[in-house]
Amino acid sequence: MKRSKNVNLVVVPLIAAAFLSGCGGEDEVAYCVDESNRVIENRDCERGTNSGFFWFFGAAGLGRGSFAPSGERINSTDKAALAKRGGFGKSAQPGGVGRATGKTTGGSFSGGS
Amino acid sequence: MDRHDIEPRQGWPAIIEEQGLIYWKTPLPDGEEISYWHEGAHYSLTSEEVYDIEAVARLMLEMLVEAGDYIIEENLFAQMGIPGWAVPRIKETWESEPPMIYGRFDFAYGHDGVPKLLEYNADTPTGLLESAAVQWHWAKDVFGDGVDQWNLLHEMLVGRWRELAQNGGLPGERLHMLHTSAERSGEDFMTIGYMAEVARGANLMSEIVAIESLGYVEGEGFVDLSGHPVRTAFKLYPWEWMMREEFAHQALEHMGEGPGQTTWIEPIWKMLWSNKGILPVLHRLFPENPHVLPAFFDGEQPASLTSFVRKPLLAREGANATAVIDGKVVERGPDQDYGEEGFVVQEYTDLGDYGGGARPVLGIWTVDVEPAGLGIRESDGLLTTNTSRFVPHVIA
Repeated sequence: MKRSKNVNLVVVPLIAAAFLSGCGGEDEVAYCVDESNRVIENRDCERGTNSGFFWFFGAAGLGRGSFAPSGERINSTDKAALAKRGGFGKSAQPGGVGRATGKTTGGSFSGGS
Repeated sequence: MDRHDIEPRQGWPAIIEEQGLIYWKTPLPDGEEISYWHEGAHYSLTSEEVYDIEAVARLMLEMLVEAGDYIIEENLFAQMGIPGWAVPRIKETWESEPPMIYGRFDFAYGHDGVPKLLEYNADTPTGLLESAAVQWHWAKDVFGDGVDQWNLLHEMLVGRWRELAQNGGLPGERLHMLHTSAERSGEDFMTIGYMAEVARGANLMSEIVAIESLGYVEGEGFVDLSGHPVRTAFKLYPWEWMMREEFAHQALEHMGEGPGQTTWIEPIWKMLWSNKGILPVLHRLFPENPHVLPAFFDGEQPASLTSFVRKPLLAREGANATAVIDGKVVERGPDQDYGEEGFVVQEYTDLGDYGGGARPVLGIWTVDVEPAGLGIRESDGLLTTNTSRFVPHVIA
């Protein structure tokens, strides 16, 4: 047998749904948070060029506008403000590294909460 | 290997989207869309075929080690379009062997039954989620629990992350998983999300971060958005892009396992293997090997070579490749401005028509230095491009 015994996906369905719907907050694993640990709409992580948001994994039950607990999510430090950003990423074509040609696929980004 | 038509599962788009394949629609230049995932057909291989191809992949990995040594000894970096400032770290990591995770060979498998290497995607291979998870679930759904498939990817990836963690090869409290936010279909994001999934399977915490938001603090190294150090970074972003960007110097200076340094996965020496210049090097070293197609740096090919594929040293998805048969251009890949570093010329090989004009390329996944599974993409044309389809397979 050359097949994996089990391919149990936990993270992938959650972030796929969040990416497709452009909204989140109900899921239990992936959150979109801003620099101050405030949980925001997942679409803000994926839309536009604002790099001030990122995904946070690990805690559960946070609604939009609440704050991620410290300990899971590391608190901001002075270094965050000192850092120079944007030094990687300029070569990326809209299609990214993979196969896509760069146009959004039909309706995938539409929809709100 | 055979190709069979088969009934798609009822409601398959929702099934594959839940499994993360949200990027299955490929937009065409004329505004139409085609499906990248194709379960209206599947391929079947015998166990003997799988073991044969697996043996070739193992052999190829050994040959690649010799090819890497050769590039360094012969100083072929400039000819391969690798910038001089990257060379010291490439040489150093080639010796020190920092962590690596995966790669994907692309083999032609025509009707002569001899796998022939088309290229090795050693730095940023994609198609991972559909190979490891989506086709696995397809096989179980369609053929039941007893089905077999050449696909140990998921558990080998989990095992590889676990092994690296146990060996102390992953500095820092968590992994930083870097993707480019320029990619809008979700393909890069879900690929990196799947890597976070398998790392989670090894009890590792990941943070998914757009590479555009990676920060650098003078004298301290790379930091995430919170200002905390990025000690281990898994990137779905090619080294050749990084090396021409603003942070190239910082990445080289702060590369390593210590405080203020970053361990990059895949390591920078993968620039040797993922570069198409590896193909003429393999041919030079192993001219008689039936799995290595004759290949040359552009301009060095003999005049007798009139049927070939010309590929940029650095490109992906068939971009800026040209297929020439009997001296005539018969097909061009999409123009994405690749090729300024130069080209290689590889002898044309027939991918084989497996029915209705479908021409498959076998993507053989490797985890560390072990063959791990198979993902097949087929095209109607001679080049595998961004309009090619992923078609699942079984071992029959």
